[in-house]
Amino acid sequence: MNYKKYDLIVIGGGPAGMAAAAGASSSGVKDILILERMPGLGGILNQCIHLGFGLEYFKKEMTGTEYAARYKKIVYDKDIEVKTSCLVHKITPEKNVSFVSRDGEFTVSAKNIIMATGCRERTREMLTVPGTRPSGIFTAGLAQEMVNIYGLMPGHEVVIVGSGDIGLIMARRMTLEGAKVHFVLEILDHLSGLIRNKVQCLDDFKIPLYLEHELMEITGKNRVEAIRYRDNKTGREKVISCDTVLFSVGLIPEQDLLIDSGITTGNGIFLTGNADYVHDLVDNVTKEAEKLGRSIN
Amino acid sequence: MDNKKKKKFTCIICPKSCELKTDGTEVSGAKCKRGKLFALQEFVSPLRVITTTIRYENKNNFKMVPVKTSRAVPLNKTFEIIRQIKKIRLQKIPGIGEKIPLKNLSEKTELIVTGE
Repeated sequence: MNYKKYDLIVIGGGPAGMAAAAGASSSGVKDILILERMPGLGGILNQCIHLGFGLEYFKKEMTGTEYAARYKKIVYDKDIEVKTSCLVHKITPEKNVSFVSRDGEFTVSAKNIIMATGCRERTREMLTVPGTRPSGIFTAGLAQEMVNIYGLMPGHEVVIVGSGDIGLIMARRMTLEGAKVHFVLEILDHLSGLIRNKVQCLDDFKIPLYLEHELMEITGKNRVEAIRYRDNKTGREKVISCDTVLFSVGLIPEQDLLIDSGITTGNGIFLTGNADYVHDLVDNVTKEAEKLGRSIN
Repeated sequence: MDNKKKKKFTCIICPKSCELKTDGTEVSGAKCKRGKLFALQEFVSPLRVITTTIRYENKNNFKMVPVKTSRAVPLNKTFEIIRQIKKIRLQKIPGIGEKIPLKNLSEKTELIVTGE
């Protein structure tokens, strides 16, 4: 079969994918295609309505949504083909890329492939927390998407497990939307996220952070009714009633597409952004992905 | 620096998170000018830019429109401002950068749309 051949196919149109494509384009790579599964570019930035982006790269503090809009412009000003609402489901060692869209299934081919598929949140299941399986348990990023994109409230009496940045951001977000955030539990003896996020998301709203505290059990039949947690310094356990538990317990690079296709990086296949390793700041993702893009020929 | 009146803050201007100390006139621990100004302001009255969303909904369209306040506003006014923002009804989906007036506030601030 002869498939349409690109010089570069970028899988994922978030900050890493956009930057990789833009970098390649500016160094003279001609036929570039970005495949994005959502209806628009921007990735997770589109649900990040809070500030803290762009200070390094654009020398200006912006929201995630502003950062996405600004970088999208860079992509659209270049000769880069963008296909949205396209889900890539297979890559072959010959660098054929198969995707599905509303129009059907297609295969295209590339000299180089950059995987910019971002990362996934660790879930309650990965922590093997004992208890029931009621509704009201979400990852922090899912809750962020529900509130900021779909205007849905995940719940009203909230406990956050893990002190990752998204959990801290969501502690404030849920509070502003009228929820009661009781506290943040962290099993380690130190904060996982950035200190500035603890200051402006927890301290500003007097939400306690309990270090060296462990979630022991989630209870509730249809909906979360309570959690049991333990102070690991004293061994003392407590129960608090709540209707929602948000997990912010780490991110995992999303590499399933490679793994499922049975191929590894090298030989014209690259990983970048959070698909490579998880970054604290999008500015660094942009810089690294641009650099990778420029090195493609 | 007068030790008795000294307050400690963690700078939130950038991810470096400098540990600042100030007595209201002098600042120590800041690695940049913005950090110094942050500490002095924090000493008097903390200011924050508020970010939230406004719901736009009609028969055919639905969108949560992301917004931020045009300037940093007093932290203790946060919920008052959020209540005002919740009262806003949009006639159409505004574009990024568009301004939306905020009424009934002593602070001279408006909202800026931050998303497309």
